[in-house]
Amino acid sequence: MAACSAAGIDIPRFCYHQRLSIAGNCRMCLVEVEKSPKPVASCAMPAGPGMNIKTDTPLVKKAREGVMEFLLINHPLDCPICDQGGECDLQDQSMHFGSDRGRFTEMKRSVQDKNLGPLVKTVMTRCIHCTRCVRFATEVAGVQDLGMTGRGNASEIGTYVEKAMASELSGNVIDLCPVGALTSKPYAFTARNWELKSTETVDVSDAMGQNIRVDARGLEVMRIVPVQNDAVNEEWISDKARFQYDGLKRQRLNVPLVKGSNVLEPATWEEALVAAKGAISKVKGNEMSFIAGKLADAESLIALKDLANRLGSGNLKVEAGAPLLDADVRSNYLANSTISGIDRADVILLIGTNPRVEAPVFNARIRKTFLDGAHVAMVGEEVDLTFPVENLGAGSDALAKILKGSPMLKRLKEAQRPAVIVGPGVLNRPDSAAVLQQVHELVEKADVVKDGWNGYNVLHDAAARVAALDIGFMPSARAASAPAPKLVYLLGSDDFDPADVPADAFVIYQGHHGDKGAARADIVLPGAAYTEKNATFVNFEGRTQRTKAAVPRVGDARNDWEIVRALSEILEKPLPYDTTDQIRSRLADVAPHFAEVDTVQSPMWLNGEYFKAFKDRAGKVSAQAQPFSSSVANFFQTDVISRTSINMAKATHARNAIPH
Amino acid sequence: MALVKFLKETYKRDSVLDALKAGGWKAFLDGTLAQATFVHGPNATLVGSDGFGNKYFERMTEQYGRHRWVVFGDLNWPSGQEPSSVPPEWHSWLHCIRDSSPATMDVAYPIYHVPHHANKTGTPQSYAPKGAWQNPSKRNWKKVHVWDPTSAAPSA
Amino acid sequence: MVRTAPQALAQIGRLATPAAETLAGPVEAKVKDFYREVSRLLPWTMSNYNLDEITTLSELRKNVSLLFRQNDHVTDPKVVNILIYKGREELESVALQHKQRHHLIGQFVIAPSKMRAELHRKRDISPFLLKFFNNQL
Repeated sequence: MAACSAAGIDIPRFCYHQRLSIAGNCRMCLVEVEKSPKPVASCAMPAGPGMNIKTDTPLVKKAREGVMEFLLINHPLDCPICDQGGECDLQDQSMHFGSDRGRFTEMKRSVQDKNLGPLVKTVMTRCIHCTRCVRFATEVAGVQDLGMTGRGNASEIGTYVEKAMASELSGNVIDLCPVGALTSKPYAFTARNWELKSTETVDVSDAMGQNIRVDARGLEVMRIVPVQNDAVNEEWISDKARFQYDGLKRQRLNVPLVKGSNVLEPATWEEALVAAKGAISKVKGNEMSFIAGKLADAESLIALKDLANRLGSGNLKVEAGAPLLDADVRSNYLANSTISGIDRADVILLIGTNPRVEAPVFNARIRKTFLDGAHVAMVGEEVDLTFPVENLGAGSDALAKILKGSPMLKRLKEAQRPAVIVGPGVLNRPDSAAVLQQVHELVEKADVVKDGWNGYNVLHDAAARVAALDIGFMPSARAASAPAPKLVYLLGSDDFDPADVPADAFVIYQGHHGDKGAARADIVLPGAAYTEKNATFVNFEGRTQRTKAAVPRVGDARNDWEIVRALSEILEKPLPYDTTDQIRSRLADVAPHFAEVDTVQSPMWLNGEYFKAFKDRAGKVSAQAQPFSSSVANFFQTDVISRTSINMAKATHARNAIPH
Repeated sequence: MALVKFLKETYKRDSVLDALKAGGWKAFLDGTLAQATFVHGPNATLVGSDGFGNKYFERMTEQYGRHRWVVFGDLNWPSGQEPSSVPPEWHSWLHCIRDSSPATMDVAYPIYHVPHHANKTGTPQSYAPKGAWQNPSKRNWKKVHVWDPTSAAPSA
Repeated sequence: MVRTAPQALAQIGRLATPAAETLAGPVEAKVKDFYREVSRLLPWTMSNYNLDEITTLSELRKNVSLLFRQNDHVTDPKVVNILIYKGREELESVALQHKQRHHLIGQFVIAPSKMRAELHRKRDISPFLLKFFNNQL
């Protein structure tokens, strides 16, 4: 079949999927091969030299018509009320191969629907037993929940015991299902696919930058589906990326708010900005602090950084932003192997990370590498990564043990392409300096970085993190000596450290959701969410990607960087860019890779120079004993959008209900 | 005598005078009430009553079709005397759909049975469509729900 | 001296039907004539539409002249004639009470004051900020 596709001939299929194993059970892809007595299933037939394949002979057509007739025997005729209607493989192909009349006069069979949790809706009577979902669950997602029971007419797809799918990738079975047996529960009966306007954009629910397509009807995001990008997410996305969109419709900020007598009151933009000016002009430069949240885009970060510097403040911070990392050395905070490069690794050591919750699609990629024969070990808390992992211990003592010489060190040394992956849990520990030094030593000792291969990877958990580091949205040298802030500017930051926002500080919050940040704020400036703006994000491998506006902004909200730009003008320190192009060229001036969209510029590796400098800078810090743990406690609720989302709340509830 | 007794019973008073004072006088104005109190009440067998206080009477000497009747628990007009307060099982007895009364036989309820209630029209519990203003939980069709600053906790 | 409605109507009936000969001649004079006609009707409008609660006569006159000035870039006599014709239509519908009070308030009180604020803004702030405030970015 792959040979036919390469030759430009599309062969109808149901069960075949290029990223899954071959099942060959739908029989739709039958072709005639010369010198073969029977039609053969092209998906399972290896192409050989001198093979003559005929795809449009009467025999082939007849065979496919026969298959289609059998499939339709037990398929309900409920296309008008089916969510797959209009984008259904069976519907399309029955237009070609379906008969205009049925010969089947008996009763159709019906199958009881399975409960797969709050995200995936099942109408099992529609199932044609292609087993794509079963193969996806076992091969990619790595959960053994789905399977086929019964024989012949009685065979059914389902969970063996009634339970929700315990996978972060379960939503992908919806796309895989060629018919309407598995559909999206939140999307059910809300829209038809031909009334949707699609926009290809980038997800911000984790730092991986999964490529997504936002399907919107009018002002509403109706659903989110993956876009194929082999270098990032292949064609999967996590459940959070897929289902958190209903959070975009709740608790939104639509007008500027200014605190009147003890309560936030709606105001015009002019009033809000003038009020902000009043507050800012009252404090000195270094008494201001700027905290960027998890979902801040690169444009607003650079604008806010420029504004802060013009106001004489260097107190810039990214939420949980690992202040020890050096923004000047790109290779020390990126996943240098790149996401697709992990496929080629042969030994992988995970340190203090649980990629299953930090970046589930990346975890599926590591799993694929594991299935290809790589050895995966981890230092950190015992977690289920959906594949067997050698656990070498929980904390820094285990790291020390590896350093002293252990089979793992030897394995890393001998490996062609070893990879060390440091998780965001490590970066946010109080003793991260000590742990990072250990990791650095390990990287040096085990020759993780060699010619043509850089195996030092740092994983991040927030979409804004890498862009912020690229821009240098970090505390300046003088920031350490700054007094306690009297004015805090929160750029979409809701999970700020309470110590960073003193009780008497004046707080300006700019963001799109009313949450902790807005509740604390004295002035609220409504911004745009990621589906509503054209913005730049950088994922953890350093790939610059741009979101596109799929729906208009809510109410009187504005683009994030434009708010900062307008505020700068009100403060009489205007920033020198008026248009998106201008601010992007400013971004490219600061870091050239911002101009190279959807490419990874491999960062320079300083051959241990940086490690030495890091050691000098950090000084002697002793590591603490507590085990490394992931920074993400609950996969489904990490940022302000997923916290507001009802779907994610339901998914959390369902996940907690699954007995371990 | 039976009439006096019935009047006293209906208004739960010890003397006829008290019963009249308590509302029995209304029977002189309200035909239904009078019927129930003075005509139907006495000399009939009380077959049973339901959870709403409705009493069911039978007198076989009456003309056929008028031999079974109900005296409503709540005789005030217009809030009471509600015909729809008769549960289905009594309704079927009352209308001679079945012979034996629910008081003397077990009624088999289907699995989807819900307790009977009188028609709620005109009361605050009356049905209002999902979009009606009267509906206390009126459905909101707004595409975006805006954050309400007053709902947020003062700050953490 | 406030004129009565019949007087105004008598005037209007004559004015609102532009004969061919009225299109000839210098346009500046005609614009001035028309402006005077409008101004003459303003006191009657004030009292008849009860606009005293909203605005003053001088304010209204200023607003009307602002609306005239909106078109001061027009020089083509044909266009000027059309504008005068359309203005007369407007004037007629005011005088005949085909317009209601809220029409007048919207058209001659609120809209000009917004225009004036806009003009004021335009002088003070940059094009970026203007677009930002108007949500036109």
